[in-house]
Amino acid sequence: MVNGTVTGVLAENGVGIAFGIIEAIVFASWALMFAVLLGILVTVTVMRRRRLDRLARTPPAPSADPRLPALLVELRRSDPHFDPELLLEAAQIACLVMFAAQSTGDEQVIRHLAAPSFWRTFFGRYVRTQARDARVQRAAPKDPDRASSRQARLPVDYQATAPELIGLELGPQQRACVRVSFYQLRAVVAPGARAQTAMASATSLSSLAVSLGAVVGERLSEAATGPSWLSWEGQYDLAFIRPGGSHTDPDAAVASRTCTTCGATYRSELATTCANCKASRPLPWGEWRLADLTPVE
Amino acid sequence: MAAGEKLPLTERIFYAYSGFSRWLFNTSGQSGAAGKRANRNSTPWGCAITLIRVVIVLGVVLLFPVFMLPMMLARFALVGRKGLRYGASVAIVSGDAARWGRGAMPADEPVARIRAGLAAIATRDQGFRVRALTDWAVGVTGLLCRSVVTGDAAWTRTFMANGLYRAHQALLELRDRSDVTCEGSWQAVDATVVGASRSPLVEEVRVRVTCQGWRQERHRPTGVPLRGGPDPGTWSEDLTFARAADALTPPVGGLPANRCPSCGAAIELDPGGACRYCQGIVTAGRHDWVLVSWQREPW
Repeated sequence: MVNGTVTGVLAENGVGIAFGIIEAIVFASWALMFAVLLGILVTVTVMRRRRLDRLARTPPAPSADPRLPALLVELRRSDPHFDPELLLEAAQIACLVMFAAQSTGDEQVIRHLAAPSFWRTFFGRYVRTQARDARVQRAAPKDPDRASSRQARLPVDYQATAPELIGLELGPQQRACVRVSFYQLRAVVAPGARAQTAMASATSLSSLAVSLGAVVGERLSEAATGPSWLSWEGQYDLAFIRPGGSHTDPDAAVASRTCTTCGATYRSELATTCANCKASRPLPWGEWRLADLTPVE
Repeated sequence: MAAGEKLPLTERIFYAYSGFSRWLFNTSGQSGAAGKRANRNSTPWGCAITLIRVVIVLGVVLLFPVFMLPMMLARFALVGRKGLRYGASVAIVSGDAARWGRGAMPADEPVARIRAGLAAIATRDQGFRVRALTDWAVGVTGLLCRSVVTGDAAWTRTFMANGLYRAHQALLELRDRSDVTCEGSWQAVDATVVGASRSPLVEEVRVRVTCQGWRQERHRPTGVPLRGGPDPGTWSEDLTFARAADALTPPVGGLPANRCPSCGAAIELDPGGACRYCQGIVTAGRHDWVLVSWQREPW
């Protein structure tokens, strides 16, 4: 009987300790999660504010390398069909397919345009993560009764404008840098969309707190599903590489429209293989591949 | 999600957790038909099951950060401080400011500068006619309308520069994949030159067209209207045409007259922008005017 009582007390103590540990873990994880989230939001908000202040004070970043005309002449000597226009097109399309990958989760096209080294850069990792999230969201089962199923971030407009060749390096590996301005507009369809989008663009701690409160409030009250808007605007420097000694194929622009193997026409700009014979689609700009992307700060 | 795609461990843990919680919420009478059925089972046994479920649901909610944190920290480690810095380097605008804040038509150039630009072009190219370009802009607007409404970029192949065409086609496909549709019917009722310039490399003419009609964008699955509406309206669009500085108006009129600038045949292009008869690439802007920019007022 004494043994039974001791066992019972020990069991009670054991259960109590286990619950205590679980409680501590749960409490600590909630605290840590809020601390990390708040830390990220505060850091981004403060950085954004500083950037706006800095932009108001300092002139825009310098553009083209002064050695560029001479380097272009040298490159044309070894590659007479080299056309900088094709690189500018490549930059516009690369920006757009990155936007596509993040919106729809389809990484095929950006993989077709990018060099393997791109995926080791910050933006490569970022695009891959965003694309994966988009795929997971699309694959999630839809229940029209649930608010989370009525959420969508829709690509509405995208423009990559004023592309400019600003740098060229010749050598064992050729490297071209193109600066391009981009603008994208997304519609956010979700309950409480307005507060969600306001949080994404907050530039002060007070606006951040207000929009965070509004998001929670609108979620709890199951606010009507309505569209709101988010736009991004900025400049990227895109670095393209190709092996030294490469030559531009003057027929590549046509080959990227009509399959050279079976003669079928590519109906989709986002197609990377021929729908008819599955042959790989050549790129109009030949061997140039996207290697890195840096926002112009 | 692609079958067999390998996710990092932290993501797998979180997705397993969210899958379980989704299943739990769906079967716990929170919503939907299953919930309504469960509410009908109000026997003592049914009540006990409901109570257990409520306890499990509470436990799942409490444990949320335990499953969320590893993924969050792993992602933060991946992007690091650079990610935060880059995130802050992009201008993000939300709400109505995002929708209406960009795309306002640039102010017209002074009339004297427009005349000087047009005169510089006409002096070098005796066949240049402003009227031919403005008439073309009216026709181009109709084809742009068809292209956007049908989601088919092929309508624009005969006048868009190669780069713009690729981007236009890709954007239409992207919108289609995201179930964004555009309905409408509009036409240009007026076209005026609002900018003209000539540089050693390129000649550019910006034409502003006044459009009348209606247009509406929707999200197909939810039916939520995004932009526009069924009521008729009037708005402006800027079409910028450009060509190489040494290009001359072809004798038969070129692209504005629906003729191949190389061989003069009625315009019929393959998807690569080459004439079906002479195989000349005519939409590169080397031989004739092409549309290099299409800007719409925010709507």
